Amino acid sequence: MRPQTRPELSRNHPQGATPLVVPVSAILSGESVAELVLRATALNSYRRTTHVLEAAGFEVGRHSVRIGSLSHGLDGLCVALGLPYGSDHLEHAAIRPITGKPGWVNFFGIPLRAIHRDARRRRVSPMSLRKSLHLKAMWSVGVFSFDPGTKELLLDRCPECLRPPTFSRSYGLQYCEFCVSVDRYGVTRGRVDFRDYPQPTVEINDLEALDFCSGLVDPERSDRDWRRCLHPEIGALEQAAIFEGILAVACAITSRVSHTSSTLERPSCLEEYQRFTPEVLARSSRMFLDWPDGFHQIAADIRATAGDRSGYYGVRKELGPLVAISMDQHVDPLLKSLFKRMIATDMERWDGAAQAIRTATYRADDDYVPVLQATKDSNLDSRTILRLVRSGVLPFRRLKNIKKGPTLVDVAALMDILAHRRETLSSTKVAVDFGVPRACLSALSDKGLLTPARHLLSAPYAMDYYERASVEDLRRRCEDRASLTPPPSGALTVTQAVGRLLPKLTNPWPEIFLRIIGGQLEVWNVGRKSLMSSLAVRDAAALQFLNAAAPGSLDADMVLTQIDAAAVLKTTPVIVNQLVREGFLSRKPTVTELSAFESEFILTSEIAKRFSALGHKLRWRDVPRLLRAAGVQPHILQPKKTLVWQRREIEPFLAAA
Amino acid sequence: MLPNGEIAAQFLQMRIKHDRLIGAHKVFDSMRKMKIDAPWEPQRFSCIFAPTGSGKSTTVKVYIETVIVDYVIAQGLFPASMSRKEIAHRQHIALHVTLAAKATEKSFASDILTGFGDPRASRGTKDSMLGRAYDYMGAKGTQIMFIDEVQHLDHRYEADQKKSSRVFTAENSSVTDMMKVIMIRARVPIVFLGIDGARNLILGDDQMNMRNLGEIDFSQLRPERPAEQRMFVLYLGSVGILMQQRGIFPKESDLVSGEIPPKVHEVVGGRLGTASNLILAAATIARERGADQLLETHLSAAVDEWAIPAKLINYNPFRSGIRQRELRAA
Repeated sequence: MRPQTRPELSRNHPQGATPLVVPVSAILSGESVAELVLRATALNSYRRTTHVLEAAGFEVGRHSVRIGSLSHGLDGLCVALGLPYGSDHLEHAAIRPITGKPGWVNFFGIPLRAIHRDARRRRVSPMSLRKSLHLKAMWSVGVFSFDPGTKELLLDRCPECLRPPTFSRSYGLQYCEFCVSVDRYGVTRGRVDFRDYPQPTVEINDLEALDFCSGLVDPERSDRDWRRCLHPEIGALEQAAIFEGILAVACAITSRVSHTSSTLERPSCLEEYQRFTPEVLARSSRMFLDWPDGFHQIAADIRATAGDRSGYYGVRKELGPLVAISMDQHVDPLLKSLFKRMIATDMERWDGAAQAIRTATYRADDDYVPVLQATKDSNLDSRTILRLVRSGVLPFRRLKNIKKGPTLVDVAALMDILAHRRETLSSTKVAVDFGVPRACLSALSDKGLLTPARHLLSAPYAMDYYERASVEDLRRRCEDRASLTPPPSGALTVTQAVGRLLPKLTNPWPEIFLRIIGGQLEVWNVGRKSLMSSLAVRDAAALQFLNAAAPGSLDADMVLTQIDAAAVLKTTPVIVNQLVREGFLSRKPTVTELSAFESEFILTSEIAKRFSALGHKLRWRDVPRLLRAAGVQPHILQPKKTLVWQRREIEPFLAAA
Repeated sequence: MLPNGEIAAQFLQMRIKHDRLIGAHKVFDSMRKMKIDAPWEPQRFSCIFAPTGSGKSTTVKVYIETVIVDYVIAQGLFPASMSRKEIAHRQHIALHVTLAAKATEKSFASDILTGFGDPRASRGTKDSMLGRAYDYMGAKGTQIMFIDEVQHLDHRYEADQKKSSRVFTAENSSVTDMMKVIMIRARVPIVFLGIDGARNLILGDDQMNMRNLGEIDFSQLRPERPAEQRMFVLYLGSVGILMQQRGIFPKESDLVSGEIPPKVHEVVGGRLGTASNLILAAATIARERGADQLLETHLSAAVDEWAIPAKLINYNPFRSGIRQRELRAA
């Protein structure tokens, strides 16, 4: 029998408190007021905890007293429970709100968010009850699904009736309050003894981290040396701050990828605390134990799931849950500042850019910039830059499977391209500048008239480039030879003369340039834009020398634009476009392809010219009627109704004419 | 006669040991011994049936204040420095339960809980209260229970008739069954105390009788028996000494010389407790008269002012002598 060492309590009991018959004698290890009152209820064979509270002088009415958060009237409770040391010990065991910190309670001297506790339902550890028949306040902390002492998973409902035991009724601490039986003497007793239902114990590799987490708030742990093994930055934090930080990290690593809000996804009810498995708590605790490496490890884990998170790029995409911690209202401000700094550090040190895209803000290097930034830096429009990207000239990075992900371009490559653009001219520009087909330029290069630039393009359809100086020099030399006097009447521009004199797919231009430079071909400057349109010859006969000279060849493998193709075929780009649409030509025709087309087909314009050259003046619109009358049917290109004829069907008519 | 509270208080606190009290205590000790040696066995009962004023309740009080208090101090349950009165009041090794009038099962359970000092002694169902009482007995290590005023079990008992019905009602039966269950379930021996008329309530049940350890004799002292006469005289002598020791009178009072013992015996009918009450009345009168000790004249006045109005006797033996025809047979 326990010694009855109650002090003198029979007189002047505060608030009408009356001592219970069986005193609790002392507050047992880990008990808070709620567990203590429940034990007193069981010891005195009461069925409701309100009976004990009544004896303690509380006005017990409906919703008037919540035993789980009992924090006042402790003097009366001390008298009723027969505590030998007065209310001081009860004061320590009372879990009461912290003044000036709404939502927080004083949990055995440690600030704890009230929402983490379930003050209505009780959970038990059967193994712990076998050792000592008393409940522990730690079991009411919903964060822990296990007993920190035995590591046994807590029993949160009766194994038979499946109802959760509460703090309101009791047939004994170890019994379900709903499952009862009546003994042979008519006394109602508890039937289901929780001690007969031992639960599995937690099996986890990192037990140290788990103990660290529970030890932060466990009143039974008096080990105060835990700060020594922590990083000074973490060791400087309060216990409550570290504990809340661990929970915040646990929330972060268990956040759903579908959680789109920038706030931390915390459990909204006690049932959701099941997310905090021992493994999760150990992982998040390990982050603080291994600070700062632990942070980067967690960050890497979170970053690994960045692809599953909504959003496109940036630190929220990569480390969204950790960013949410740094803004969470319940996390200690000092810890939040630590997190912000560590996030920035982690973003800087991370070198896995090949796997994800983010803004340049969080890049340690400025080697890749978004297109928008590139347009400002390079003075190029975004279409041009994106064209360079698509052509493969400009290295870029972009998240796969993301429709609207940003495109980061290689700054160095872009600068190289810009330098290249300043010093070189593309064959397209040179062709326009000179007024000659692009396919003819390589021959000029072969003759030493133009200096080709180094290749930057890796794509098969990439164009040739020529040094700007050589282009300008060739133009200047040609213009120097041109007479500034008015040209004679009947003069033709070089372009016109070549068009009239030479067949298609010939390259007279090297010879023309050479003769102009050499002064063998007299030219006049007529002041137009392109070079060969600004130079005029006396008449078409001035180019007769081309018939005697060996015609230069076109670059057979050169890929032509439709405009270039039109120039080669001596037609319009519109007709070339129609030919492409109808499948006569490919989208990127080569000279070889044009030659094949030319040998097989003939256009109405050429037929009219050929007849005209033979002395038969025909209008274009007359040609189809005549040929159809002769039984020749053309291909009709829609929608312009351009006619394409088979050359082998037309040639007999031309020969006969 | 106006009561004197100071003197009455002193008399209430007087504890005088006599042979019957010592004998009763031996029985109580043996019953506790039975409980201690066979704690898990169903226990038995004893009983004391005697007229009012025979000192039954006082015997129990003396037992608790002496034997039990010594026991709990020796067991370390209470500190020796604590007041013995308070220890006697707060200990639950020996439980003294006084039945409420017209006792029922529930009121009986409530009386037991009251004996334990339960704040909710009268709250709950009968079964829950009884279960609580069993638990308390186990938790407190109760070794003996005294159930006083058992005549309250008889609902037909009429105080003015001074007798009880011989008919056993259903309510009587259920309460006595309950007492039987207490001996079996709570494994606590019981001592029943009551007036003579209550004897049938307890001993009228065969099953109860089988658990009877015997009746403790507390009947009126008979003058024809020398031992009982000597006990009565010693009692009066002790009262005379104690009055001086307790400061009621500066001198010891001689209550054993002359015809005082037989006359007092004649007035109180051989009941020790009633004798104390008579002497209390006489002491009150003596103090009013400024006497320094109690004299026969004061006793005579007490008979006139207290005993005759209380219908203890219809004449004053101190004035007219003892009437031989009024002597009661043993």
